[in-house]
Amino acid sequence: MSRLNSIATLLVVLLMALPAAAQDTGTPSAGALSGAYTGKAYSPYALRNFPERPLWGDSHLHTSLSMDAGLFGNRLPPRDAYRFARGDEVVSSTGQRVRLSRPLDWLVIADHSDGMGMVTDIASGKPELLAYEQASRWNKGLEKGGDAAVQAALDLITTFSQGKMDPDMFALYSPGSKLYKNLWEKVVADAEAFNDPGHFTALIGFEWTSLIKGNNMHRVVIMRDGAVRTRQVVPYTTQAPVGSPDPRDLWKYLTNYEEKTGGEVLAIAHNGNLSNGIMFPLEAQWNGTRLDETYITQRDKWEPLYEVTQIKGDGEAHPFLSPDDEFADYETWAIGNLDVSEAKTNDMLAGEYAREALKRGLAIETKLGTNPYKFGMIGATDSHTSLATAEEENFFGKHSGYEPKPGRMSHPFMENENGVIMGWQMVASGLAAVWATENTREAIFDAMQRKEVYGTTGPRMTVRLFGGWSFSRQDLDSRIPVVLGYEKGTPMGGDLRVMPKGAKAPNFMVYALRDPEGANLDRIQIVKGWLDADGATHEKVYDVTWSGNRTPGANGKLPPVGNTVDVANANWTNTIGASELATVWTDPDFNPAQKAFYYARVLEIPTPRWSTYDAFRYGIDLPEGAPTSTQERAYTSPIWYTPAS
Amino acid sequence: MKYVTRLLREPLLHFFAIGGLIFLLYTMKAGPNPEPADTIVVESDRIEQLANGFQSVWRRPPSDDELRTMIDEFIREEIYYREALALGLDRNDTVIRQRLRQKMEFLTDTGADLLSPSAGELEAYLAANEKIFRIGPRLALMQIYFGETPDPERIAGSLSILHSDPEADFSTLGERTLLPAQLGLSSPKTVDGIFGQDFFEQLTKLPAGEWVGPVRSTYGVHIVRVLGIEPARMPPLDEVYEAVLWDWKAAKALEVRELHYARLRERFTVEIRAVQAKTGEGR
Repeated sequence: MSRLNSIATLLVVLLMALPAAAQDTGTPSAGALSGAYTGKAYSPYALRNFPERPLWGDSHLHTSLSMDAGLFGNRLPPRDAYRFARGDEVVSSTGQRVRLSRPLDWLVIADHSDGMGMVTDIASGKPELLAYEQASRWNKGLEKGGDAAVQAALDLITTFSQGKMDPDMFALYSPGSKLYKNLWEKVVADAEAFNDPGHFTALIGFEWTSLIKGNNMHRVVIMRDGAVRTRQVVPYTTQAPVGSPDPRDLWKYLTNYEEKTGGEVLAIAHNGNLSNGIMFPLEAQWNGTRLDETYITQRDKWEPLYEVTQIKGDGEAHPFLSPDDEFADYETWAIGNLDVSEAKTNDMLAGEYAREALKRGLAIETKLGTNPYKFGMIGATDSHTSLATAEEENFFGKHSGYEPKPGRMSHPFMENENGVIMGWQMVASGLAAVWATENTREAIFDAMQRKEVYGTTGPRMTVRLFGGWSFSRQDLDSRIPVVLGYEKGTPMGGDLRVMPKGAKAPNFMVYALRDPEGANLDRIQIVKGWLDADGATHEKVYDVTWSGNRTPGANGKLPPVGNTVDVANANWTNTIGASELATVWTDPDFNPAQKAFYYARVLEIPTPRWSTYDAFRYGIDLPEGAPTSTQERAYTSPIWYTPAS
Repeated sequence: MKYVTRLLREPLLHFFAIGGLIFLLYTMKAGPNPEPADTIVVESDRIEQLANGFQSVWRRPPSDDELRTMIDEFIREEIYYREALALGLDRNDTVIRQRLRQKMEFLTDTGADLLSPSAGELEAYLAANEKIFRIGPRLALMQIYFGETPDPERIAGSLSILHSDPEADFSTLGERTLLPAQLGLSSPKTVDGIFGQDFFEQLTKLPAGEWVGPVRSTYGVHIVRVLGIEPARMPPLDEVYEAVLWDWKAAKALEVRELHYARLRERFTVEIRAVQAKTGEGR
């Protein structure tokens, strides 16, 4: 077997060297490859140290271990969540068979954790335990194996649950004792079991659920490490004095984790849209504490990413903040805070949405020296069903109470005197694409850390973005444009290199390939934000490449791509749009004295929204207000420009 | 009165009461002389437990102030807890019921954690679960893309160039694409994740080492050269020992959970009155 393996490997190595070698004798028509490739080896495929394909995953999934998920009837533990993400068919908490259209590459289970005593040392025959008659008896049974072992385990559980355990022995297992094992260890053990480097990565993490008067400040915490380090701590909570709802204290915990264990960790905030203005403060935190050196440097250090889209609303842009962006009104939830205990007002929005936060970051950096909101963007589900479903035609809802059933669209998801969010308003979103060099905890974490990631509202389109000063159309025509992307520029999540002498404006090589099982692409846009000399921030959305022969109208707007959605049959066709879009775009309004950021937004052609599939499959009417189709999208991490000082 | 009797017979209430007992066992250390209801004694064990809780988060012991706050918070919680129980606020509370059910299940899972396989048991488990542990096939490929509706003559022309000179520069043929021109040994998941469903399956039927086509992907038409195939295989136990052991334990946990539930279930008489609720069958 291994011989076959090595022959195959040899074959691959040999053959991969061929195209490069062939150029010696062939006539390289474009000249682009041989002329521009300046890699470390002659063969363009050797010594590649850039990621070849995006790795897809969900960085924010809850299982039955999360108290709220359990409350809503989630019965699936991490094991089922991992199996599902890996591509296996599972039975949902409401008894429905479910499977992903294709597996994910990685998963972060981010449950809330609290302690639970567990009896684990009897089997190992610890001498201090075997002095107890019960322990010794069970130990013998367990050693026998087979059915005797099962009976011993059962006997132990029954004795325990009837309160007949030897009280002295029992004390050894009460919370706080040395033998107490908490739920966190179980979480870690499950992740270890499913982590399969090269094939499927289970990153270890949890959610820190800070809620200030119903205003959402949640963060998902993700560790780079395995069991040895992560088991040295337990998750951080919001209860004083051990925990706290203040992000400054979370950052202390993260600092402490790295110092004490030698590991690495990061945090990803989400649902600023439900924070009623306190997620991205401009001047002061919710409690009046002004942003200071500590706040801005710590936030910048620990929070490299923001979860921009998920089931509880899309948080990239809001039409109130971006009136000129006709695509800004996408699946926004602007009713109130997390529990709708306080209604939303327009003045809160600037502290809630990602694009505005990126702009605020430039202003804060100018004033205080560090940009606290220099984040990359991802999507995640935040699903509480153990099922990472972000596909419109396969959407299992926010929690087990909203798994597929005829009434789920028309049932209020949240309702009180401040407003109502209906079931149909749940968003079948999102996923994270990570440009990691290999499918391991380390590589995925490192890509997150350098922000070489992007988010989508569910589909798996491939998106590349490189920023530089000398990209040309010809670079894009080379066989492997990505090589030139890295050679001549900076990938998404990075900073533009220093502006060379003679350069006039930065340019961006951007390209996208539709989801192999999804819809064609409508257009690629570049979203630019900048800070002017007066300290005011601005934004502009540029259509940079699009499908078909459309030309922008007098108002500068590109006509819509069209819509093939057959609402009655919940169907669409790829007869409009393009499979691939690519361009090199130069900023026409560049001012070298102004700080700026650039990110790409890629729009799909319209496809049926999940509610349209529900209406079709259950033979029911769409609730009033529910859109029939949706233009799903990808948001890349930005590339920043800072003037040389 | 009738309502109360019925309530008392409610099996879930019994279940809940048993759960509550365990909850109590955890929260209040059962001793021979329980204190009167209006006395709260914070024992040194409890304080140590609070300190350990702090230590496990921060990897350092709490300061005096921090410990004092924790003790105060514990007393506050204890008072609320006792008052809430006295008021019966624990009854008919979905959160508490779900939590207790969860604790019961953790309990059985922990019991199952103690089991370890006897000789030969894992081999048998591996053999019986071939589908789970089988290592899938992988293949390596090169491809040239010709667009969605290419001219067949162009494909034939390109094929004849490559057949007469297999070392020809294939990068000058076909259309520009963002799809990778070649892929090292990859699983069906990776190949189909790039080219769309069933692309891998199609390639497994092609002769290795030769340029062949047309082959259709979700994006259009290609000619393809399969560089090597590694067939699916069953790994020996040594290679997948950890995975098999973990899966075996998980399966045992379910078995023990069901056995334990069956034992509990035996102690209850369950009566289901006529089904009033609408079911899917009735529609």
